[in-house]
Amino acid sequence: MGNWERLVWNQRHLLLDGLAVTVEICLIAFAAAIVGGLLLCLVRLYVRPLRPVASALIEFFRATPIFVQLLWVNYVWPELFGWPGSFFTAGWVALALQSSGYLAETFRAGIEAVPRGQREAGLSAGMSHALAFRRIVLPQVLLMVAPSLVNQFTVIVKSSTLVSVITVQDLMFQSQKIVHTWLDPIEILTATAAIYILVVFAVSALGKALADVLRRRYGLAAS
Amino acid sequence: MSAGLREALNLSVFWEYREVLLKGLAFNFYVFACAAAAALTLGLGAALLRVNRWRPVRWAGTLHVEIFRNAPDYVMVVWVHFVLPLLLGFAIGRRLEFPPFLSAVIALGLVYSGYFAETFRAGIQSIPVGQIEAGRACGMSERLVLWRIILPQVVRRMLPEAVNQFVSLFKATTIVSLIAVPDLMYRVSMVTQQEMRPLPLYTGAALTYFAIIFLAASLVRAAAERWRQKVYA
Amino acid sequence: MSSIPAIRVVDVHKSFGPLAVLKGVSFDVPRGAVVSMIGASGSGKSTLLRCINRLETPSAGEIYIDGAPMHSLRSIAEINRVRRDLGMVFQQFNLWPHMTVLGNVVEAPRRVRGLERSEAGELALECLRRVHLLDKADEYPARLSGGQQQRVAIARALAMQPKAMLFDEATSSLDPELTDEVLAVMRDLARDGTTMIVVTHEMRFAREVSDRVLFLHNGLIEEAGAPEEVFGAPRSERCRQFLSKYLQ
Repeated sequence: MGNWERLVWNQRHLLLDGLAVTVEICLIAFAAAIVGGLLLCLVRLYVRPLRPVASALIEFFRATPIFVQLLWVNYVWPELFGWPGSFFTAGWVALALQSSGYLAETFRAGIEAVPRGQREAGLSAGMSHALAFRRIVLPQVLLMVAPSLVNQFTVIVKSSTLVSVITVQDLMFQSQKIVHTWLDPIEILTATAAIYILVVFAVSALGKALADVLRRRYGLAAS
Repeated sequence: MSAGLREALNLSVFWEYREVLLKGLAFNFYVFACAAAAALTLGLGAALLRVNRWRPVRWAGTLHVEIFRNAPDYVMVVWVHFVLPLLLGFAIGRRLEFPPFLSAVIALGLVYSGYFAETFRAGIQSIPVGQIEAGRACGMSERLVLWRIILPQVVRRMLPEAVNQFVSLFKATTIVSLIAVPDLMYRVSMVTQQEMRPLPLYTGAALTYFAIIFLAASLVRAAAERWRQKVYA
Repeated sequence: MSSIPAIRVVDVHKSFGPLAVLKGVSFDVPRGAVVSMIGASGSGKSTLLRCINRLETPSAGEIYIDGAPMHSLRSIAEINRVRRDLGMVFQQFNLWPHMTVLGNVVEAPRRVRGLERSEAGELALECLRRVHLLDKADEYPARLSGGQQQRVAIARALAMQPKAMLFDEATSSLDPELTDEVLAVMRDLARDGTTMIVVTHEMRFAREVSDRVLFLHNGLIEEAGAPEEVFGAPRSERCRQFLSKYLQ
């Protein structure tokens, strides 16, 4: 099996290009998911008339499989909305939608976990509701949910493998291209699997370390 | 946009092919059931390894969990379908090929055994050690303590988390279409090629999965909660 | 009447890493006797009790249960066979919450001794009657008070028909109003001739019910004798100090 060198090491440029695309799409999706999740959560909690809409969207994004959402965003949305225009965009949008559903719930749990007394202390000191939220509640929520956010990032990384199906040139796409070119799947697919496992493991370990630091420093339990 | 919206929501073509599509959905359930069984068994095994007395045994369990919990579903499915038969073929000196259904069950079973192993382990370690000592003090063997004291309580405690993972597993079965298991998504793409009307078909698929998962998950969660309450008051 | 003591402890030592908890303890428990162990927390009383049924393994010394060398048995199967003859009642009750009261009591006779369901059931009901909880047989432990739960725990231990009962601070987790019902049951057992080792802080109980009292301090038996001697005229200074603090 000296094929390792020929098939994997010699193709490392392609693999690294793919990995770069994977990282890029995951980071964009992650940022969008945080924004989307926070938005959905706040609307659901504080904007009375839109509450059922927000709840419905959250349930829809959580209950639909990521693969289905991906195909739906990629094939149906352009006809409906004229957007997204590229496969890459469709990819991160779908990933972001899926995760924003989960993050909306995560944020809600975090907000409800902040003791009400703290908000009241802020209000008694003369803060407005918005200021109290921004300076007292939100920072604590972000600290508390940070490990869950990291966990959701690993979910995004794992789901991102599917964007290869809509021809986004991520790591999975590149490795499958190599397999089709050289017709020898063992080394390349095993190497790809190993890379993904290691990346997810590393991020996971980071999340656990983060949770430990938060617990020790701030006495916060991860939600 | 309204033309597109009307097209997307005109689910008549989805309805027309409903028999074919429902048979596809059945495949999702078959894969789900088999993979769930495999994942539970392997997951319990791995969890028991991780709480064993001896360190190398614990290490083996941890290795299993960390490899499969961190592996993306799609990567695992592709690897099991294309690489594993070749490796096994080398070992026994023949050319092997896995039927897609088998690859799907093995791959998803392995990945989700990683998640279930963690759930079981957390459950096992949450049982107060005093109850285990009370069992030992009566002369119960380790096996009796496990099956009569630990596991019944683990199941009750971890049921909500386990339900979440079953839901995830069911959602994951949609990717088996990519190795040509004729599930719902596979048939949707076949029909799309024929009818050239992706909007209602993909929208219909999304709504179908949503309906099933939302309803089933809500029902199961409610039932599980009522069962738990009976014992824990 | 056999002259082999029900339980014989010879020069038992136990260390947890660098911490020496038991430093050479020896005593006998004759059949039908009630031996109380008193002493401050950390004196090693619970550890000693747990060595007797091998929940802890002594670092040195010998322990004989009706002649069987509990300290040196290797396989879990052998240890479990001897454990059948010992009943233990824990401070935290440790009832199994997913089984009813009757379920808790029936479990060991059925699964460990292998009794038939009807036999085990009758035995369990009899044990529940002895602790005055027959009417609670179909309840789940969570619905019972602390005193009731502890009495169920006693019934559960009795159901194995042990040669000796070990009580590890059985009333220490109970509110004062609830300790009496448990002590009453323990008194009945003593009166019926049960061999008992009782680790306790209930001095009045120890004085009234025991045949022999052991005072432990820092891993050693500082004082041993009949209740009147130990409580009335202790020879050791530390024992005197301990008792003066407790018998306010």
